Amino acid sequence: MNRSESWRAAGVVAQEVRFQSFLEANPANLARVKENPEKISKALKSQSRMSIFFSSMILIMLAVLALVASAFDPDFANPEATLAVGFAVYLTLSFVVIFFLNLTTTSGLFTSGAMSLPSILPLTRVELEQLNFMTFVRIFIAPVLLSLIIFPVGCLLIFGPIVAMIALVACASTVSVAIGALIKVSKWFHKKTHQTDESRASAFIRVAASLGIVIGMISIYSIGSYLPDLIRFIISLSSTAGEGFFTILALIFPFSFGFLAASIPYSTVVPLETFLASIAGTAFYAGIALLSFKRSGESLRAITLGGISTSSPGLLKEVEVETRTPLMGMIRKDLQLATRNIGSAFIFAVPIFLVVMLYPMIQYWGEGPMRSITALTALEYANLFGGISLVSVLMFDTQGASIHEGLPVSSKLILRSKTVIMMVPYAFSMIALDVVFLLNAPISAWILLMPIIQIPCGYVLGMTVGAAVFKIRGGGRAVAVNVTNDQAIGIVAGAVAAGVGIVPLVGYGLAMMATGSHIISITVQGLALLLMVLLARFQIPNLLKD
Amino acid sequence: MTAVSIENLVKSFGNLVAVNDVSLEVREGEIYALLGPNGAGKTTTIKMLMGLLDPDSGSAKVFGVDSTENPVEVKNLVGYVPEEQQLYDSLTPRELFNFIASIRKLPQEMITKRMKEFVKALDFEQYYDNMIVTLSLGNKQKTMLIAALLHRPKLLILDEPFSSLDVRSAKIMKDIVKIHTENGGSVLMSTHVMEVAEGLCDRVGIIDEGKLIAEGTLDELRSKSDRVGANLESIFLKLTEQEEEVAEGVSVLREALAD
Repeated sequence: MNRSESWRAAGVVAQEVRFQSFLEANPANLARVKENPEKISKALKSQSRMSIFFSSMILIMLAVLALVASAFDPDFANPEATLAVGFAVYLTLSFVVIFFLNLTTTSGLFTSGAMSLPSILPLTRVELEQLNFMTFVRIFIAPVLLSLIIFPVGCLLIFGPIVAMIALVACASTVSVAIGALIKVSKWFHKKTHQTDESRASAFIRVAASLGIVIGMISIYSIGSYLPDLIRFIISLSSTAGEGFFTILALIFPFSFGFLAASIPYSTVVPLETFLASIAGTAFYAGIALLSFKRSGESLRAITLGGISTSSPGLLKEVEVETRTPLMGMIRKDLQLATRNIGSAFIFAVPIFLVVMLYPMIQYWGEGPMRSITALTALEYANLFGGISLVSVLMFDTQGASIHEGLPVSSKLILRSKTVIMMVPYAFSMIALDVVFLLNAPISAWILLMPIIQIPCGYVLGMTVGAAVFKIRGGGRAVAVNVTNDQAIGIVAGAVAAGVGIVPLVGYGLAMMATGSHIISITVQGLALLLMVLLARFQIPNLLKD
Repeated sequence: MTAVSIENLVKSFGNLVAVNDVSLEVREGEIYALLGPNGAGKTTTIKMLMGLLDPDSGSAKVFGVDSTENPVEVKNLVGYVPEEQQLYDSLTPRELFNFIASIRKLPQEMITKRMKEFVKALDFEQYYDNMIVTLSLGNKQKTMLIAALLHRPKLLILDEPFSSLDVRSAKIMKDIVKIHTENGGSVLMSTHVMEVAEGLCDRVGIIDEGKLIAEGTLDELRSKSDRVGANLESIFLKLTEQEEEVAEGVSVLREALAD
């Protein structure tokens, strides 16, 4: 099998992997796949397009920001270092984008079973490895291609063909190393998330790893605005360490590529030893990338065909069944699943992320004491994240179709259980915001009551966003969604939550404009919420279907 | 009261009529097998009975409860083992059974005692705390079976229940089905295994291209097909008009394999 045949065959396998992961993502899909296959196929294509769109936007944003900061930053006297560091920062971030955005899909690849079909065909080991690697590449084709195109083209336009060639080699090396790392970490994570060892340490590792990954993903989305500052920070740090520090930096990945590229337009400024160090570093890391490329195929074959050992021998424990109420049983099951699913861990990270994001923003919004408009804006951000976190709770049920098909679970019970889980991080977010407000000297102590009054909104958001998702994706029946391959539903959830959650805040704002009284405004906020809670409690279940 | 009552059920997927005016009854205490070639409409019929698919027309009831109007109550009455095995891969059977027992509001002591018996009978103790993703197909099938039997359902619906079981487990499964009906329960199963249908079931319904073409005891089917003393396989091929097709297929294959 030559490379072009292998590429075509990899397309078929990749399509099957996507289809299987889509079916696995929603228990209802399996039962209903025959009912409207065109709809399933359309949904699959639209989700795939959305993922490509998001990856593309992030990579374009990073490339443009890095190039602009490298070429046009007026603040720095040493442009060669700016270009080298800008180059390195882009490579690091594109590594992280490829790594984090694809980690869940890669873990899913190992369990999809689609890779086992080629293994029964008369292919040699080398051909099989090549097919596996190409399937892997085809699944992640969008970020890989974009990474190989955007930045080198930008370099071509600004710095000329030689820098563009170095950029291409640098991006290809980064992609290769990222894929190698992705396979290794996915393997480790898959093993950790599938081990049955019930020790606290194991559960802690799983949750910590999930949190690290989720926070990493979120950081990438938000790092763009800090990129020029990041470049300046690295250069200042390096400058204070002395001239020779750049030469040492030129030996380290990914700075080697950056300094080699900078040596072309700024050949008169870059010292010879830095130039030589960058050549040595570039050759070394390009070699490692080549090796990583070769080993990835082998590693993939071992994982996808041989599986990953997840067994952990231990003493047999007493056979017993522990029952709870249906609602508590559902919540307990969801929390058990949450510690074993990367995407689900987003729910735990919401309050942390909210504080990390809002604290500098609140300081930026206004000088002097914090006013109620700032609090209202911060609370609306929390509503938005509340909606997204509900979707991440709905991700818990992306397994278990056969169990759901036979269990007497109403859509109402499912919605209530997801809402209860979502309310916990929402309440923590409100408490965290209260602390942030306190640290920013609010104009009135009554402002500190706003997040506390807003806590019941978690119930309203959970019920409305959940019902909206069930209506859109399940025609009113309870469904699971997987944001990693259905990013559109994440946007819908955020929009619904923002739209619903703003109502009591608008009530507060209008009352404030009319009366200028914090007490009256907070009362209006509370009354609006009370009405919304009652509506959510008694009206939303009527929209659902079993 | 009849355990299952299906009347003029119709379901289409685009231009394909998967279930075409099917009517059948499963009596209390009876084992009823739904036989048919692949794609005949067996699983679609069962899914409509479980309330998982909405019929285009007709009705499906379990002990008088309409599957479309009250699917949750239907699932309270039924123990269901679907053909596909999409379990919670990241849970262990222990965690899964805890979840199912909680949802079904089963008393803890009674259910623990019953679970110990199931685990022992099915030789399942060593897998009780292993993550489901690591279980073999047969052990996943056992997990599904225990999950379906946990609440002592009045009706068992088994979709291809013997497809992945080893000899020991298949024998135990057959005995479970028999014991279930001896205790007054009913069973509706779809199967490809003729010997199982022949040896285990009281009545058989043969479904082909979405239509129920024959129904009755083995003797009644023999007389319908004019095959005195014939086994179910022969009756099945006759009634589904596949005898010539199968003979022709075998002949083509013989030539293909000889080349």
